[in-house]
Amino acid sequence: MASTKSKINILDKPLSKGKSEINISTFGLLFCEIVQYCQNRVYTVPELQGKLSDLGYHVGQRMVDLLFVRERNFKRETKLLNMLVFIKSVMWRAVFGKEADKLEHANDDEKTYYLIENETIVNKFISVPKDKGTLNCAAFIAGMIEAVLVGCNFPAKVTAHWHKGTTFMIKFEESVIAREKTAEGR
Amino acid sequence: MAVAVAVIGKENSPLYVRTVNPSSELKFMYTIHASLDVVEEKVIVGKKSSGELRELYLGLLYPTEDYKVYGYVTNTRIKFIIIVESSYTTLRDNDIRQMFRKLHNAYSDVVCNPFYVPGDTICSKQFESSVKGILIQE
Repeated sequence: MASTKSKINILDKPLSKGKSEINISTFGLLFCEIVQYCQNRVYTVPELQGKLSDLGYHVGQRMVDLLFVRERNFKRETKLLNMLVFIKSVMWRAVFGKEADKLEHANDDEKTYYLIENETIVNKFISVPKDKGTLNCAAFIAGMIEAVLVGCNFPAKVTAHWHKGTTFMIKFEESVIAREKTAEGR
Repeated sequence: MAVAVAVIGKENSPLYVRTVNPSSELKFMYTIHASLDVVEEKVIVGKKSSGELRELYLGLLYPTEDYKVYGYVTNTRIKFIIIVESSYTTLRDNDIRQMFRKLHNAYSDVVCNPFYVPGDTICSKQFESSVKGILIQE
């Protein structure tokens, strides 16, 4: 009754792809050190967020090219909305293993978009002290988003806020919206 | 196969230029420099269908007497230029595409290096060797 399974030679099996996941505690420790490193070098909360965002920017810069080579089959993204969806789905899946929860367009301002993530992984172990009320360490991720957008020629400012979890506010420059309109008008 | 490969930065500064024959580098520099105008023309938004616009590979930029110049622009506006001899008539469009893909892969490897600041000139050995692979394919 030796099962037929054992007949398959181990050499004939396809190689497993390996896990692309890493340990949450390892990541937590690393991110904790990043925050401490930044904190020791600044005096105010906005400065701290700026520093975190700068570090994220470096990560984002390197992500853009990699993602477009790997996932996009050598195609470029020229539409603003497609670009945002790209960030929401492709980039988020590559970085966090899931899609972002929501993408919204501001009602009163056409330059502004909101990307909403209910539970950001970087904030999982962070409880913000009372004297630093508005601090959101997801500024790191905001920096990543900004780098991806700027790299793809959609200059924008991205900031992180506490609202429905974490909301990333993406404010595009006028030129981007103007360009988008001329492209649509054709 | 190819006689010159160049990587040009976002603001049209040369990041990397390599030619088969170092003595003819200056001549190719001129050719590459002239090709940048054509690149600019090709990526401009307008007139073209969106499918054409989205392609990173720009195709033949222009032929000179002895050479053909091909272009490719990444999503981050980094330009790749490859110059081949026009006497190679067996070279297909797909082969050129393949070369650019290789180059793009190599470039994204360079960018992923944490010690590389995007916008600097490229001095990576790995990149060098993959460019050599593109240059000498007899």
